[in-house]
Amino acid sequence: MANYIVKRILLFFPTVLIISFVVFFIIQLPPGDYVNSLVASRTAEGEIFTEDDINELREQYGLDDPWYVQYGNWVKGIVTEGDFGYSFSYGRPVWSVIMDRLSLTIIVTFTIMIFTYLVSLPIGIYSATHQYSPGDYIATTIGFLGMATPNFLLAIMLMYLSFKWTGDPLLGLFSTEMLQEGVHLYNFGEFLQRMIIPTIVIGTSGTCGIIRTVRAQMLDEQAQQYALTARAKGVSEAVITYKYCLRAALNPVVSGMAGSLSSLFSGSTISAIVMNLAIQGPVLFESLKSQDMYLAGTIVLVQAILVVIGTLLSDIVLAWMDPRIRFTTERG
Amino acid sequence: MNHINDTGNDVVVDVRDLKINIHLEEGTLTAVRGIDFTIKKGETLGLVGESGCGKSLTSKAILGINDRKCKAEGEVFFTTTTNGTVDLFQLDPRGKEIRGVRGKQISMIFQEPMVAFSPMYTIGNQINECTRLHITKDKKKSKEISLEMMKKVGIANAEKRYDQYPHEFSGGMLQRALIAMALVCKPKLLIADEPTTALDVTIQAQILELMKELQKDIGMAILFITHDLGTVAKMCDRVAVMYLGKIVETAPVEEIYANPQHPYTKGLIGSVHKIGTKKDKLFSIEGTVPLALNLPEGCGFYERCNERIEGLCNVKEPLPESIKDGHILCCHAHRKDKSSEGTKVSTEPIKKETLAKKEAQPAEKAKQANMEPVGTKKAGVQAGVTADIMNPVLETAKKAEGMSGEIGTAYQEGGKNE
Repeated sequence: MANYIVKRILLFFPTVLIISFVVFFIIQLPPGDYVNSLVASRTAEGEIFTEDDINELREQYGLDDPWYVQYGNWVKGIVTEGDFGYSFSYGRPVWSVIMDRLSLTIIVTFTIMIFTYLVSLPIGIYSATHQYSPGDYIATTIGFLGMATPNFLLAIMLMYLSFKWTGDPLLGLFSTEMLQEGVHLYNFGEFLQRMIIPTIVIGTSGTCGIIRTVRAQMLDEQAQQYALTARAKGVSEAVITYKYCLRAALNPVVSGMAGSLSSLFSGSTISAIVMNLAIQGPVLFESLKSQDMYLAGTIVLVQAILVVIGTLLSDIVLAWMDPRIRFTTERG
Repeated sequence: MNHINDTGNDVVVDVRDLKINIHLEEGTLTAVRGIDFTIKKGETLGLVGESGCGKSLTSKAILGINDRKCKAEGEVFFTTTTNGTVDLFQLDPRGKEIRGVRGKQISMIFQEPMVAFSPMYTIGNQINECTRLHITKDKKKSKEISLEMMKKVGIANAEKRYDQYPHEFSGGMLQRALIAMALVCKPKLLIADEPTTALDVTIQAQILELMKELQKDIGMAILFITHDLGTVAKMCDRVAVMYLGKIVETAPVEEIYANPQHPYTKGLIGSVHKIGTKKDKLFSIEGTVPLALNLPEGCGFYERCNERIEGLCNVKEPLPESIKDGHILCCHAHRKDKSSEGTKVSTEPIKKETLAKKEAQPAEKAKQANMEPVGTKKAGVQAGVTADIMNPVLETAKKAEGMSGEIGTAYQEGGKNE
């Protein structure tokens, strides 16, 4: 087992290096660069740029080198100084831009993740143990609807409803006063209130997906011979469900968690834009639009690293949970 | 119901008029159509029949662990250690009382040991679960008891094996472990549902020997379910032959081999050696699937029978009758009092052409159409039959348990053959 983990960690570095290369390559692919989009937007505002001005800007931003030189410098900066480059549009180092929204992003997405699993696991289990009961039908129907409804549409609907009932669309995570005074204990309740819509909106599709996975898996496991053996032993239904079936049914749920670590960092971009949430997703979107390549590159790189770490973690958890996987990892 | 069941003091289980209905989309399938049997202390009753005749369903019904789709009716009187004689069907199938019976007083060994254990827990954990539920909560003591049982069933190196997972065991060892799990509480009745079918021949003999030894040790009764008459001769005291959800003949084991009465029993015993009887087998499966969904009047074996009496066998269901001490038979052709009911004694099984003619009759045709709503289904069943010819007679009968599962298998094979 330890061998396996060490091997996986060693594999981590080349993987990340390759990812960073691919990321950088793709981000510089579109024609033009940040200077082009800057000049375009300034020209639209009435400023006049000469060829020399543009070249000077390019030199200033270090965009006159070929892309692989830029990539080399970027990686060198990251490895030697932990410097992820400079964000052109924010006019600050990339890392400080990311740190701005990091804590809030983690709070929001972590809440959503907990919500997702707390809601979906019990419903999925109930659905499977009470197959074809009214409760199962309701859960299945809501599951289908929730998976099929686009998040942003749900966001608009909920904001409309909240505006109609409370007179406040609950846009964004902070009210104007909160932005001025900061979040304190006395207005924490309001913050929680403002979390409700984002949680439902962003959590719904994930929740419904997990309900469906858990239900299907549990039904599969319940039909297995070992469940019958356990019943013939005199084991109670609850033990059969939780000790035997659920344990085996959790594998796909755990491997599904691998991706959620990176969505913690920058997921649900469209919903965040619609609901005006100050989390990482919209930043990535903006940076890609304005070809703010170091910012975009860094966010995508961090995402990729989180996917790799998430996969490693979920593999370790799987090996810990399932003796069959453990067995093959010990051998291999 | 005329009571043919023995009701002596040493009767462990007394099954009366057991019926099992399976609710499928195609309709209700009566898989078991009213069977009676008793098993005495220390006795082994063999339940023999083709696959799909309801053996496995019967065994699971006794414990109340059948699928929710299967509804069992009737009475199963079991002499419990605590509450005297109880009708197990009156107990809540999820309740505490029946759970106290399962595993402790009646336990079960399954056909495929490879899938009978959860892959997630060690063998020791799963055997010990039984001990902890029924004998002692004391961790150390229960582990000792479990280990002792594992050694008893011949698992070498039991201490090490205790902490291993099912995927680290061979099939034969898993069956031993399954037996250990079933016997750790020293049950009064052991239900063995084709315990050796999935094992290779040398292991089969070992496992049967082991079961016999342990039976002597514990003094338990065994309900031994199989399609293999060779195994029956080795294991059983009495044999009940099941056909299409009914017990057609019950007799002591020597009697059934020396003096089989029912044409089906004769066929079974004959078919062990004779290759020529394969044709009968082919015939049988073709008939079985639609029949179970839409039962004909009279004897279920009528169409395959070579001693059938037209006008009697296809009109009136033969009732069980004791023809000798301990030999019970359901057959018009072999009744003690052979009255001249019926018109003709036919000696040939109904041939396929005759059947085809019958199908051509409008009424029959409509009936047939009702029974088989989907066209592909029939093709599937027939293809399944052709697949059967390839295999030695009776060996094909292992497969899955439960009617629905078996039908599914037939379809799958059909698909392959097309």
